[in-house]
Amino acid sequence: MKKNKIIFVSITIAMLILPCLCLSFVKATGETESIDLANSSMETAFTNVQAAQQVGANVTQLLARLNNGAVLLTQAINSYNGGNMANVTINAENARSIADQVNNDAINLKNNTINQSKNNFLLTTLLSVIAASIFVFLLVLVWRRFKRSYLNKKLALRPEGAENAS
Amino acid sequence: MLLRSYKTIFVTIGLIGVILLASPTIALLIKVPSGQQFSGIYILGSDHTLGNVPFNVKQGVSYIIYLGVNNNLGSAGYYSCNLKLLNESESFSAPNSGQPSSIPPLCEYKLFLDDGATWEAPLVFKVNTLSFDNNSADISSVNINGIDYQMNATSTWDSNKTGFYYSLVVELWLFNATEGISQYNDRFVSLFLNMTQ
Repeated sequence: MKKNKIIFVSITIAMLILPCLCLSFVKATGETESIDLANSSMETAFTNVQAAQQVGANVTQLLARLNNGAVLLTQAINSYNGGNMANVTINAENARSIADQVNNDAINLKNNTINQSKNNFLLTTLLSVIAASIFVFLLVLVWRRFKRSYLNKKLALRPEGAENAS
Repeated sequence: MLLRSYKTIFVTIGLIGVILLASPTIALLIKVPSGQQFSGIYILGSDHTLGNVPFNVKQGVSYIIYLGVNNNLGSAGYYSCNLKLLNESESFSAPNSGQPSSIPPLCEYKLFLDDGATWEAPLVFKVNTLSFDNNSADISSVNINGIDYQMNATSTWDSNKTGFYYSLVVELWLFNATEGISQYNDRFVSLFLNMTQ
């Protein structure tokens, strides 16, 4: 009888403690997940910002916004490491939200910069070809004129005897 | 001077002119190689010099240092500074080994830096709980920038250097966008700390 009572009390205590343990585990998992998601969003956003920079875009503003997100992510990670779960999820989700916005802006900026670069390249090439053609044309004109005056000068310098002989 | 010589001069002028006029287009096509690409990490004392870096540390006293990172990669960088407190027996990364310390970080600082930019931030640390035994010192709690971290780091008495030594190590990690992972940049700074009563 006493043994049954002990088993009953043990089961009751276990039933009370288990949900609490599960809840704290789920909570910790949720916080870890939100940090991981924020970190992943930051990395994706940075990859696109760097890609935009590589095609010649000015990414100063995007990096400043990413840094705001990085501050929040840092706070979330350090609070989690310190065991203070109060603002971990909120900070991580705010960081993720900033990263997602920056990511979209970076993709748009990259596409705009690529189009602008293409136009700039075509315009520069066209102007270079036109300028080089005009230069070559003028140089040929100058050369022909120079050649004519050079030959006239040479003919004028020919001796009389040589002219009669021919 | 012969006409052929003048022709050579004209052709040379023509070629130079064409190259000069095409140079804006050539500049768009040719990428000039950039200089040496590297990142730097440093620690400065409270007065922004190396002279005032803390060494003897007491329980409950706050110490301030400045942590800085600079980017000379030729493009933007996503950095992570991992801060670790190691005792004397725990080895930190050997220079140029490419391997970080195996001890998990107490805290991290994430930051984005444009090429040529420098980031610097204060790092205030305090040993909350420090106990001394006959031949050892034990740190069970530290506070870094206002956040308490529980830990268990024991250091034995170093009779050669007469002290209980710990190292505050900050490792520099850099996100590699090509591989999509954060990698140890083979750079760290460390601060030797002697725990005193």
